[in-house]
Amino acid sequence: MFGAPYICRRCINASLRPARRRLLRSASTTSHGSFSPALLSRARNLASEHDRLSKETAESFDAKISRRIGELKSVSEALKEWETAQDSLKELNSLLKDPTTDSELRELAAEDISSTVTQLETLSQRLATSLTPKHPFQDLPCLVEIRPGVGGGEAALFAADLLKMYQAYCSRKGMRSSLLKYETADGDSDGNLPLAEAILEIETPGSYGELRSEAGVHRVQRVPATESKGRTHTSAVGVLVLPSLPKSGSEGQEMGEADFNDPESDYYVNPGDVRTDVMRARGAGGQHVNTTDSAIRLTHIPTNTVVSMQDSRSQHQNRERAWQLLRSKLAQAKREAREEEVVKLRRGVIGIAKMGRGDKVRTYNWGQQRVTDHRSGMSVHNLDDVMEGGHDLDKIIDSVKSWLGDREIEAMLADDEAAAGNSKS
Amino acid sequence: MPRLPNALILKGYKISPLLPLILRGARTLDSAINELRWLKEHVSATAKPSLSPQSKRKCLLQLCIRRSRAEPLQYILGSQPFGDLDIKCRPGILIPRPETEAYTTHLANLLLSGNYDTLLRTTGKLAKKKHRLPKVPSPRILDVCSGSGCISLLLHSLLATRFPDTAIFGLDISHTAIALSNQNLELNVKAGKLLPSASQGRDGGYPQVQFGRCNVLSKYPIGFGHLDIIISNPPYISKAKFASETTRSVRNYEPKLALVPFQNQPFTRGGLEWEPELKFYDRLLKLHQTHSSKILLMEIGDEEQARRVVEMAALANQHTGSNKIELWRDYPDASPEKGEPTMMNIQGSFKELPYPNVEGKTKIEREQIHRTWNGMKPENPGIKFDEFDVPIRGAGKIRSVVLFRENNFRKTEGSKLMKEMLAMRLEDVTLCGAAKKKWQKWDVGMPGRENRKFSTKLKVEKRKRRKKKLRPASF
Repeated sequence: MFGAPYICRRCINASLRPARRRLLRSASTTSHGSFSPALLSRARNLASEHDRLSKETAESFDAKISRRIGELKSVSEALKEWETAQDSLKELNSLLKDPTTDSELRELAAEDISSTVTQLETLSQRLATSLTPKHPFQDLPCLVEIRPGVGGGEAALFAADLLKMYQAYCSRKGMRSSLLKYETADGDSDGNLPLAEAILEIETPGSYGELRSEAGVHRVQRVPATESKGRTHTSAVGVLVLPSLPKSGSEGQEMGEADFNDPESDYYVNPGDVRTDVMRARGAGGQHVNTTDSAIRLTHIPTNTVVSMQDSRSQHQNRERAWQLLRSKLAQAKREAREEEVVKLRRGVIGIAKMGRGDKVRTYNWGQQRVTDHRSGMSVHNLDDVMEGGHDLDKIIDSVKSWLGDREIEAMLADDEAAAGNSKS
Repeated sequence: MPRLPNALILKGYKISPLLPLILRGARTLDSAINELRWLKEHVSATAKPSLSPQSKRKCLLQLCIRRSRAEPLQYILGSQPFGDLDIKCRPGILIPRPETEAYTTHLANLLLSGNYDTLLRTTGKLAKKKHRLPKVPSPRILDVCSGSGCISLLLHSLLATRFPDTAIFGLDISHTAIALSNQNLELNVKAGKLLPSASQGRDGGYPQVQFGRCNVLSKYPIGFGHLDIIISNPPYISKAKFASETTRSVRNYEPKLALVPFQNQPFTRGGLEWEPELKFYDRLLKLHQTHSSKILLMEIGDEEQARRVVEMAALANQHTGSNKIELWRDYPDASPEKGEPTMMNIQGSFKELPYPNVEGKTKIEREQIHRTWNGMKPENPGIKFDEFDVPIRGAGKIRSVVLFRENNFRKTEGSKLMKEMLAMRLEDVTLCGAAKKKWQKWDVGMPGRENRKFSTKLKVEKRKRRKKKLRPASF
């Protein structure tokens, strides 16, 4: 009767038990088929502002207003399309409900409804993305800073792996990247060098928007090369993504706020606040010695931010790079401080999961050949491809990006609700 | 030189087995790690792609062994970044130092700030002819002891955008240095780091950066017209300090000619005795005075030397009109650190040498004696001056003496002094090498040619002298 004389119990149990459900949430599933009234009213407000502004510019031209119009245009267009789709859906529904309609028309309406519903889905998605606030640094190139965290030598080794992964990812995506800083830690020299700190500069504009979701603690679970007894270790590596600010004021002109000669802007660093330390030659200096030390250390005294750079043989170049890095760090810190305040305000209204860079964001598990992102809940079982910066890394990054977008919309909603609540009371 | 601790060598070995070799030259782990990385980059950049990884590793090992003998990394890699520029380095020519970069940049920044425009514009000739003064000055700069040409090139790269008509002349005693500086000029123009006007000139004019061979101690360089700025990094290490204070890589590998002046004997100037290594400063001050340049910047070795050079400059000040003297530290644009004084007090009292005995000498000989004794002060017998303070700027060790002319001495002192100067120039001055009137025609491109001429000339002279000697014997 049975083809096989014996089947082990585990196999039978496994085949009889319904498939185990993962407790993780699979890639972003929230849909926006229907909008909350707050979001809709916000969209309507923006659209009406767009109409008003475009009427104004018909008479007189103003660069600022026209830029604002450009920003609002996508919202108003998406809203119009969404509203027409919504109207047609209503009409079709009423047709279906109306007992007087004949059967032929009813069939046609039923066909149309399904297509309209799918159309509505995509339109509402588009409306949502157009409503998502644009990150102010989104169009900038970025700096990716990688530092090993808990886990000693293994963390340093994994940091080197991550650096390679991002380099491969950039080269596959056609983004120009260069190593700004690469410091090796002490350790064994075979294979790849363990990393103490690395800064990867990605010069392609818009790479900050691409990679900003990568910031956070990346956790690794594997049997390290340094382990002699075959135990799995868990270590962590911190990844920091900073927007890379344009080098000169003229480049930043088009961005409006990115002018670091203006003391009001985020990018301004008062040169008087920065102390420059240079490696001093020992002894008499001058012609008496010939050094190769080109290290530069900048200290921003008010915030005690220290940046040191010794990668290039040219002191001049080191100084420029150190300034660039310091500016980016300070701008990021200022922005984070501001966001922190906003988050505090929000928490009064709604509990939102903290997404600071202190929490782990992703796990790389060698044993199961699995990469899981804890924010989007996406899991990928092709670890090697991810570590080579392949298409699976794309999938993960995209899922996180859409998750981030959802989060931002939620936050915006919460803000609107809070504002509405304030105005009522 | 202290021995490297074993722990350090072991620590280096754990990171890379090549590090102990480099540590012998670099002495600290941080710089050794950096140097190893640069060497690796150099090998992967220069080796032929067809080479197997094994032979590439061998190449790297060879370089590391060279470094372990304390050969300067700049000679191994063949270059040194200097400001924006990349300066080629070769054994026999001094490697550009970061301190030199710092004061050159600072000087350029001073000029770019526009505060010195009026000073640069007051040229005696132009003022006389009542030309309309140009809005933007066109500084003419002389770089004495140019070596690899780094100062001249960096100045051009920094100044050329604001002063499009700048002209820079570099002088060095060594043929190889001149050849290398010309190469550096070409390379940096090609790399786009210098404007093409540096090597081709503007609108068919002369090249804006030119290098020529000259022994400034034996021949007095003329033929530049007026000069606005004289800048120099002359050899300034005394024989004793060369043996005690220089590091091994400097002592063994860098050219002694660029470090220690070949003058052996102390010399007298202004009735005072000066150390032999100050000979260059004497000459530079004289150049400053005869060309009535506006700024003179001289690199010096240490605080003691700075004091002596300031004294020398103050003596020269007595009759060449007033110069404002400043001392610059290693990093003149930085603010001074704690414990670094910002003033140097100079006492004005000297012990004068006794006037040499001139009895029984001919008139010409007497004049000669007087001139060597009294050189820098043709008129004034008094050499004492009031005690004064010299400001010191920046942070680090005292690195350079800077003179800013406060008024044009040609106007104040009148023509009498000028005539005297001219007399001194004509006597003292002969153009070096294959002397031509035009700087342009200097035989720069072919090293060795001048030498040959010179040596044949020498031979002829020697032969003549021998004949003279022989004649009385045979008579």
